[in-house]
Amino acid sequence: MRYDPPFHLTNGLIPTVVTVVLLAVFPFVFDASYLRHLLILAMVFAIVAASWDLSFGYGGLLNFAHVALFAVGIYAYGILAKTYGVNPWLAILLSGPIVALVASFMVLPVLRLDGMYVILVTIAFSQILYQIVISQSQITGGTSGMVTLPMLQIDGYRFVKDGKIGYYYTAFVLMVGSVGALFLITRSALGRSIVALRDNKYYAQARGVSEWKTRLATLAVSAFFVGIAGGFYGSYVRVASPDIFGIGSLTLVLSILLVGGLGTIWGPVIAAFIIILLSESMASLGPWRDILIAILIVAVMIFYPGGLWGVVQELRELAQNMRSSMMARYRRGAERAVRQKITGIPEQMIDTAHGRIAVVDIGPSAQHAGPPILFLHGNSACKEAFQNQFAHFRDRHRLIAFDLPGHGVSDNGSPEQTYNVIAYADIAEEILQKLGVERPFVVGWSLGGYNALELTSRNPAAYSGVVTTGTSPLTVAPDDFARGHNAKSHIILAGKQYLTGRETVTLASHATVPKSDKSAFLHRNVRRTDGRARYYMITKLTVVDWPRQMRMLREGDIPVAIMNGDDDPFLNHRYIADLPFGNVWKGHPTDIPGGRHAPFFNQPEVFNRELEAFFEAAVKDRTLRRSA
Amino acid sequence: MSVESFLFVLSGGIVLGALYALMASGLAVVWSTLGIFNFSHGAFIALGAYIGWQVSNAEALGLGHVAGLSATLVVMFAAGILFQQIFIRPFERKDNIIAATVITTLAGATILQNAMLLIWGPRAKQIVAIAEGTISIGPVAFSGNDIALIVMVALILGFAGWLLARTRTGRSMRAVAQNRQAAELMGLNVPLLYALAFGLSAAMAGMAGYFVGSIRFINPTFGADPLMKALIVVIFGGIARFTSPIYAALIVGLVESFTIFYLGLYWAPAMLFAMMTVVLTIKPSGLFGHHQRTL
Amino acid sequence: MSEPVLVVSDLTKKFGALTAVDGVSFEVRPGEILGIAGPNGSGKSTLFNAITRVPFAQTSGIVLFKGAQISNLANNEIAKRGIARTFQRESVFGNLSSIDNVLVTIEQTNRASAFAQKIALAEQALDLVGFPATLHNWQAGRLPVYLRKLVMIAGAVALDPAVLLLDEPASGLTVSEIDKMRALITHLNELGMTILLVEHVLSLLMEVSDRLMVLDQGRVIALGDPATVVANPTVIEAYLGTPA
Repeated sequence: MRYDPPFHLTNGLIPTVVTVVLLAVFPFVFDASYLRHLLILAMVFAIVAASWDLSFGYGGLLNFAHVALFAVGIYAYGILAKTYGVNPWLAILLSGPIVALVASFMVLPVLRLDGMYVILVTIAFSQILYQIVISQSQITGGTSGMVTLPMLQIDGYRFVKDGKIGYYYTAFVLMVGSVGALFLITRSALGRSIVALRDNKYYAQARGVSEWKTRLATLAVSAFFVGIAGGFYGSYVRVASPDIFGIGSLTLVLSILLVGGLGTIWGPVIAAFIIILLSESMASLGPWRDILIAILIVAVMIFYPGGLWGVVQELRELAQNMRSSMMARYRRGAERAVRQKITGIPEQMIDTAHGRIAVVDIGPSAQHAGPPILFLHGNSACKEAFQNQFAHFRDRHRLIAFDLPGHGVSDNGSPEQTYNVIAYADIAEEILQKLGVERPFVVGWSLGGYNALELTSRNPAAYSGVVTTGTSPLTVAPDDFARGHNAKSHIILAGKQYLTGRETVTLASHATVPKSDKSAFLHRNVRRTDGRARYYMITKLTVVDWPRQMRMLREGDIPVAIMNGDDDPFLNHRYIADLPFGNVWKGHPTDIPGGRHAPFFNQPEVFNRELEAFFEAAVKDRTLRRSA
Repeated sequence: MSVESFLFVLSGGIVLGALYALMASGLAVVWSTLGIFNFSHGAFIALGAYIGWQVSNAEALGLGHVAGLSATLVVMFAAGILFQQIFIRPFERKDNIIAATVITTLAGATILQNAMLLIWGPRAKQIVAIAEGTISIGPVAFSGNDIALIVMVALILGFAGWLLARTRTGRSMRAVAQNRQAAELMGLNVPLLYALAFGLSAAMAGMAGYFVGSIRFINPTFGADPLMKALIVVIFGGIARFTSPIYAALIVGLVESFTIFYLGLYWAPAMLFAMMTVVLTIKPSGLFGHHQRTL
Repeated sequence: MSEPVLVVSDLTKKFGALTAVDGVSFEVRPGEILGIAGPNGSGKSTLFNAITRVPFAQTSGIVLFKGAQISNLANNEIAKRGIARTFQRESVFGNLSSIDNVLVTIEQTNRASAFAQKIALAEQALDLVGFPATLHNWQAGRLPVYLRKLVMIAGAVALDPAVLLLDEPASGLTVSEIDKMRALITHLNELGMTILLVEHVLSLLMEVSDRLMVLDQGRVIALGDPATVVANPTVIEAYLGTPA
């Protein structure tokens, strides 16, 4: 199953649409023609930097001739439009292929060289272009360049009029078009070949990737867009100056690219706006401006090697953390009564080593003859998922359940320490100890099932029994995790940090049931869940001592019940049936018809009956084999 | 072409070659030791020229050439080490060190250039000739300054070559250049050696700046052309040995000199870059043998 | 007997003064597994390199594939003709997902035109080598060693090759993983792929190979039935003769 939703189904859609709309309506809101001028420049440099990212970032080609190619685009426009009187629009369009052609001359040296030498040969190439331009003064104007290049107009309407609004929208269309095209290219077959060649050149060749064709395409496509940008820039500033070849503009564009973040396309686009606006706003500082910008660049390189795009990702994570923890804090107070109505059990907050955890515990009482039961909920869910069990078992058993960190109304945790199966089991241990609960049954759902196995395998004798539902026990991660689950399901979403609205609904519907009045709170909890909890849990699967869990299941030190929906979309039922259970109730996993991934919720009567029977059997004789 | 003009062009080529040799050797020391390319080398050359002017020139401190050269040497050595600590050190162990140091050394060049503009202003300066008069050898008269330049460059290069080849520190630097891990295992102080290499490189750039400043006008962007020339020379000759860029510099100086004479001023750089591209494409390790680092 | 699928004649690869592969000639019959053994530095990997021209071409010599000379083709063309190799180190495109690793290969061939069909072929190749479908979207660089090896072999299978060159597929694997790898090699062979297998794990080599070739210092010192070859005194000397 290849999971690669089209752009309009990803989280990138809304910020992109908002930005595009803001840029589109900007001239109607602000009349400031100087700001408009800066935005035009920013949009041009966004194309220059984003197209460079294709060869530099994605292709790993340290092609330092890119800015010289921009200059060639300007001159191509100048020569075509002024010297030969070609229609300016056509001249801009032709600048693309002309520059692509010029760039393709670089392919031979680039193919033969690596790393540093590519930088040097491409710098040499740009110097050659520069020298050609200044030596052919009868065509290019030599060191003084070309001036009064034709401007853009349609039907006599000059684009510079009305505060350059015509140029603004032309730049806008060119930028949206170029960046969109570049984005699509990175996701195309060509884009994959480009990355393949960067990641592992020889392996790529051994898989049929033609190095020279791919490199040529990379250079030509990247140059095509910078050529168009150059042509447009020429029509806008109406000057073709050899200064563009200089180290100043190279530094400017390189800083846009690297400060933005390599291999991201979007990073350089954002950085183009920031750096152009920043550098203009400091214009009055003279030489200090260049010094400050250079210091900024070095600081970004040292402290944020991933560039602004990395910063954007960090901010996004911060925002998600803040939003989800505020949601938890609000619900903790405001919806307390609602939750108690669902569970029928009062809630308390317990401080643990991993933050404040919301726990329900009906407390010991005389009528609680059976052992206590600890319920552990699954990924992106909450303790209220077990409401049907609370109602059924509360009279005879002491019941404990809690919201995992980053879930329900518990605190968010620190991702590295808290969001993993080991820490979850630690929390369960701590809570059991603080509440003075002894020898409980542990019932774990999905991720909670792993937590339950981790918890009980540490000391099987301290637990009355363990039940997993919707869980595939593992020996080796991630191999068994892969085998134990169904690829056609939406398991990919279970580890995805940022879910779109559609993905949230999909995950909630598959993890539990389609939305209904009864399941609405489970759906709501997917949104509340700290996305880092999903991501880190999956990436930290490998640190858990899975063999110990499997050993416990095999050696049968503890009564085990495996109760899965027979139609669980996530599980590989065959895999689970073949596991070597040493002391499993009934001698094999128990299928709950129509239970899907949450049989205790979808088929509570059957589930509770089976669970009750298991409890009775396990209490009567810890070794189920004898009673079976 | 008359013998006189031939010899005139030849001598011009040798002077250029000597200056290029000094610029390029400094660049090559950093490249071969740290494995990076220092785009601030041009700015170092300009800075050296300004410091030299400040100390030696009558309009400034007026202490003469000996003080000027000594001050340039010392200050540039220290500046090189400082520069390396700020702009190179943080990236030394990163995977993207090559690309990262390209941008940070470019940024460093911008900072130095603008700082020089702030300190010394945009007006051009010139260091007075190191030696006066002319010396006639056969039919050609060499200026005393040219002869002095050639002699001093030869002395400096000889001294630097001695440092690298004959002293323990210099040999350690070559060891680091070949294999950083091995050098560390041998107990060499790699950060110190890197700093020393950068200091040496900057001091050589400063000297080059001083000499160029005595034949051309100094301004803040005055290092850009020398940087490009040094780049061509280093590529052309490779960095297999300390002497590789020196030979290459002489060839480049002569080619430039003769190209200017025959084809005109504008063609010389294009000719050189074309030569460099061809050399890189055919023999990436430079004309003089194998390079030791794969970058 | 049928025509040999691969004929290597007088293949030589020199690095300066060192001759890594020295006039090696042999024929590979369709459908067989030819094991290749030899001490370290005997030229096994270099032989693969010279046949596939990845990363470098031979110095001299000719390789015929299905009767046609391929030793003058570009390396990616050789791959597309149907000679797929793997590498000693688990090489993958670390930044691409597992399925995209294979998709890239499919996209270089003419095996399918519609995108959905290409993905289906990629899935088929991954299934064939036993790569778990739930990890298709995992970044290949983050996979454990064995799974990366599977991705690499799936990429080779995606070329629909007639000849598969496996360079130490068992290196770095655990005992149980080596068992799985052995089963995979046998399975691929049963599907009709001719296999050249370079391997240090001798038990694996002996069990799966139909014939065994031993290289020493770039030359073939023995070729034939595995049991006979390992009993050959020259072979024993090459492995044990000079004390390390």
